Amino acid sequence: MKDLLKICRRYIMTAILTVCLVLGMNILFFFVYLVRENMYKADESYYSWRIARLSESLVWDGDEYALSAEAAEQIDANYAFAMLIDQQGSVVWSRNLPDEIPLSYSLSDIASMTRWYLKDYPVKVWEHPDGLFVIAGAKDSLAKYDMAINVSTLKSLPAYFGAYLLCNLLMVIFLSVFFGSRLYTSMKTIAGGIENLHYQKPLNLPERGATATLARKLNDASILLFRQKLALDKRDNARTEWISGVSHDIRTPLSLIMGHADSLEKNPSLDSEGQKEAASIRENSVQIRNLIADLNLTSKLEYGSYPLRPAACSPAALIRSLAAWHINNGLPESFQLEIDISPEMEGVTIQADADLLSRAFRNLTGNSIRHNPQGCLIRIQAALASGMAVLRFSDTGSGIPVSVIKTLYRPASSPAAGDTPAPRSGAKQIPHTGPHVMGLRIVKQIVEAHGGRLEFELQKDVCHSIKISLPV
Amino acid sequence: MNHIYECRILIIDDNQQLLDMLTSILQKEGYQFLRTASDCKSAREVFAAETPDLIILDVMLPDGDGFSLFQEFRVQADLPILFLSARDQDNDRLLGLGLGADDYLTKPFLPKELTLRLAAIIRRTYLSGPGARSGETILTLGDRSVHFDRGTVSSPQGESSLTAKELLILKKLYENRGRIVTFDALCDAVWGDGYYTYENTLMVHIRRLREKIEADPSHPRWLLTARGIGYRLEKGETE
Repeated sequence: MKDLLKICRRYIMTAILTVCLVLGMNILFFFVYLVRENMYKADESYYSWRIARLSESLVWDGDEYALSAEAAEQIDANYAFAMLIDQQGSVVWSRNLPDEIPLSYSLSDIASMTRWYLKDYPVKVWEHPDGLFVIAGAKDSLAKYDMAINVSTLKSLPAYFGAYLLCNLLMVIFLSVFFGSRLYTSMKTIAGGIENLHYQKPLNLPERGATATLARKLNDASILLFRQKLALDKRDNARTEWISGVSHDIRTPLSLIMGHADSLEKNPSLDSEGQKEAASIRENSVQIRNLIADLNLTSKLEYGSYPLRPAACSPAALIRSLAAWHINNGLPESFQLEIDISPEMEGVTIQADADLLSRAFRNLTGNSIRHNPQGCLIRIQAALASGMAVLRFSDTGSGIPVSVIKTLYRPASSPAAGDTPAPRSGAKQIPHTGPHVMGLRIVKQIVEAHGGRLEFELQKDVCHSIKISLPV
Repeated sequence: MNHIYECRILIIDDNQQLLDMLTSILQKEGYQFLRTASDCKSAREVFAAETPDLIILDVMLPDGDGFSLFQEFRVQADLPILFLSARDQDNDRLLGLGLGADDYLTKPFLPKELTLRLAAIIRRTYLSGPGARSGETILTLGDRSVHFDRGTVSSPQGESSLTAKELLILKKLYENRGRIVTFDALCDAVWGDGYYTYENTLMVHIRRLREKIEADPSHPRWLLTARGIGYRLEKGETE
């Protein structure tokens, strides 16, 4: 739901920001227009030929009115006509005067044309020493409106403008929040559904309103996922049960093989070669037995069907017990076992299945012994770090090659590095021939089942130290 | 019963070949009185005719299950029973041991595993030893003898008594003679608790124990320290 709130918050903020940006742009354009207009008016050439200038350019030379050549040029270029009306209302001078324009005017005519039009010509008037100077633009070139504004209103215009902006802003915020909360309400059910889907909970969302289609699709997805999970569970259970069943059926025949091989090995009538062969059968049978046990365990851990029995146990005690187990079971003299438990570890307990964890530890020390027939120093350290019980298993032997570690972390379906390339679709999958890592895989599974972490500390592509971190 | 090999053993398993092999293994080991049965019915008949001293019992039988048969026999006689089963599920093992079985061995097994466990059960049940159902236990350590029942150590210099804790420690070590017993296992046996906070107490008890059972406590001959791991009671020369 936090995500949904975030989305809605962002939606509201975006809406507010958009409106503010539009308003800001408008204000900016307005100012730019004002500045440009002022700059234009400041232009000398523009100003110099305004009506005042034109009026000044018309002078009585004692005989007739004369207009400067420049002024005449300006009038011809920019205006329809110009005229001078004397104090009696008669036109005493004109330029480009159309026929429809009368030559005498009453006071009301003058008042009307000043405010509005003269025969549809927009006109401007200016005071002249001899009367009224009139200049007209082309028809339909200028719209004239009579505008009067109260001075007090004019003075309070900035305040009005500010209030107007503020109201707009408040309205935008209110609408954004309103629509945002509506969006939140309508999406809340959907978001809840997605969250439940993530936790693999079955969904039954109400399929109504604007989100009916989405809700229906989510409900369908939930059913689909549930069916897939059932199918997967069924397949995993079948696999675990199959392995368990096969291993069960193999046990009695293997007991006979081991028992008879043992008898043969001790049979004095058999020559030494025969006894040696019998011993080999027995040893290999024991190995098969161990492999079956490993296979059973790894498949159960893989598919989560191993019943963990967590109880408070001390990692320090487990390590001492492991060391004692090795020594009691005849650790060869070429091996040295060293344990180093930091004092703060003594009081530490973890919630763990002690048997299973001991099994993982035995796999690690067992690997050190099995892969170093010449002997080595095996060191087990235990310390407390960042609230985790950190156990480090290291040896001075040949170490674990990086290829083994890569195999351990490779998904079961992908081929080993350096193996045959991945088969094309339709081709038969070739099983990879990477190193066998069942013992280490079991360690990894056990550690992960306890919420812990397994790390391989590499030195030049070889690992001599394995770190296990378990939550305290 | 004077010797473990005098024990009358009834072996119940549905696989005839396995029965033959087990009989052969136990005979070679020295057991003289062996009977077999391949189903519940014949097992009941053998049991009725001659009550055995110990039963080796499979869990899955053609006409019933070993757990039920176990309870049936236990009602009639308090005799030790070892389960020998192909079922390795923890639940099965816990059920078997929970019912009161003396041991639970999973197939496949090495003959030695079976004979060792069998001998341990018989000794524990019928012959003298700590926790035995009858008889007194005496532990001889050189010229000194520990009398577990009396809780005393007799030496050429005289007799000294062991405290309750010392006795418990010594018993635990004796049960695992020749093997290292971790500090934790000792503390659990004596105080029913972990090693933490008992480190010094345990060390003090061991020192006092050495003063009683060792000729030279500074250089112990019997009660040895496995540094950082635990203690070990050294085996005698004849063992």
